[in-house]
Amino acid sequence: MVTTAVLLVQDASPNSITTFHDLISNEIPKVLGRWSFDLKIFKQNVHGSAGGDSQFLYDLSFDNEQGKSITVVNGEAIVTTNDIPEGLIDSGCSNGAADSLDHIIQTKLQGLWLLRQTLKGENGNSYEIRNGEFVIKAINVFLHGNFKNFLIMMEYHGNDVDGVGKLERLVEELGFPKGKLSTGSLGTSPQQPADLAFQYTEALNVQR
Amino acid sequence: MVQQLSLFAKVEANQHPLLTKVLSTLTGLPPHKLEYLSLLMVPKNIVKYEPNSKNAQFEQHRLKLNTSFDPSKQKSDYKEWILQATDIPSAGKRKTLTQNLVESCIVLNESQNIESMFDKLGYAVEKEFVVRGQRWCYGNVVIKVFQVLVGEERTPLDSSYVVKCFVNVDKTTDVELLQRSTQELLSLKNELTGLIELEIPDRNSMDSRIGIRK
Repeated sequence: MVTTAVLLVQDASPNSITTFHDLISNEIPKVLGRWSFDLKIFKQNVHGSAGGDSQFLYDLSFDNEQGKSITVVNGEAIVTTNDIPEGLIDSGCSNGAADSLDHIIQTKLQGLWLLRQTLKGENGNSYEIRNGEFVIKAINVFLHGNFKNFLIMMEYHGNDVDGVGKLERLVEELGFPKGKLSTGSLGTSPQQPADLAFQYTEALNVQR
Repeated sequence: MVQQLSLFAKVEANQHPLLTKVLSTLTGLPPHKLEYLSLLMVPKNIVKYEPNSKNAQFEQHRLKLNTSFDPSKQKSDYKEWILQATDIPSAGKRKTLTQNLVESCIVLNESQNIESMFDKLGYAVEKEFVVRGQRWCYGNVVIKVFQVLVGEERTPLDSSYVVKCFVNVDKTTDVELLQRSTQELLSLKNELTGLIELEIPDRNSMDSRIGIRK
């Protein structure tokens, strides 16, 4: 089971970002390539009233995993995929063109949820260190085209039960820049990729 | 998003065996199974349409959830669903029913339940039914012959069968492809004339909007 954590760096500057990449280079990483993400924030339509406690709905999608997205609403994560299971095609359920859920929310659920903000992570780097035990992904986050934050996402792929502890130790060992580390979980038991989406909303402080 | 071109017909129960034979002969293939469970979802709070108010800008829609039907399963046991949303069919003088359709495939984890998930989104189940029948492919046209089963006992709503012939066009801007698909449907209609009459249903009955503007 993969454990994730998201670190939002406080007061990031061009200087501190380069320093971080240098820091990772010292570990002699395997470079995994570029990535980017979109975090869409929807607010309840006051005229529609979807009910529930939360005023917000979040949709997280990654560019390198087209069609896959995680939608978090009222403590529930809705995971959508592009690979339609064989059984569903076989029984005639699908017309074979899967879109992302946020497209349906934006066009058909406007009466309940309205898109307010899109946080964009652009042109991030990803590294694999310590023989694949950890994957570190770093990215610049923009809001309306302006730089907002520097975000580091971590994955632990090892067998240790205490994945969160492993990640926390890694942050200290390597001397990552100071910031807010989110290791939270959406449910009572760890569940990916729902937890990851929750950590993004937690780290970027868009929960209200 | 796909654009679906379709034509419909109704067949009485006593004509059904003949139609099955004809379609298998025409397509040269045995029928494929068609069996899925559908949940029709509506917003929990339906807003009344008031002219000139702000809510007049937003429409509320019904959504459909489909999954492979398995009689041994409870509703909460199904973990894979196709969410389907449709536009109102295009207006104007057309030879086929033309409707835009968006889908998304939802995968639940062990502890999740589709009904409570959509409750959080603001939707509730309005109707539940099973679609059971057969389907064939004829060129690019898919032919579905089915009954709608309702209630716990899954009894047919009507003894007759619905015939739906459709083509899904992926690229909605490809006019040539749309024309060719329309032609394919019309030639099938021609071929089956006398046995069944494929027609365009009332577009208002295919409208997914609710509450407002009606």
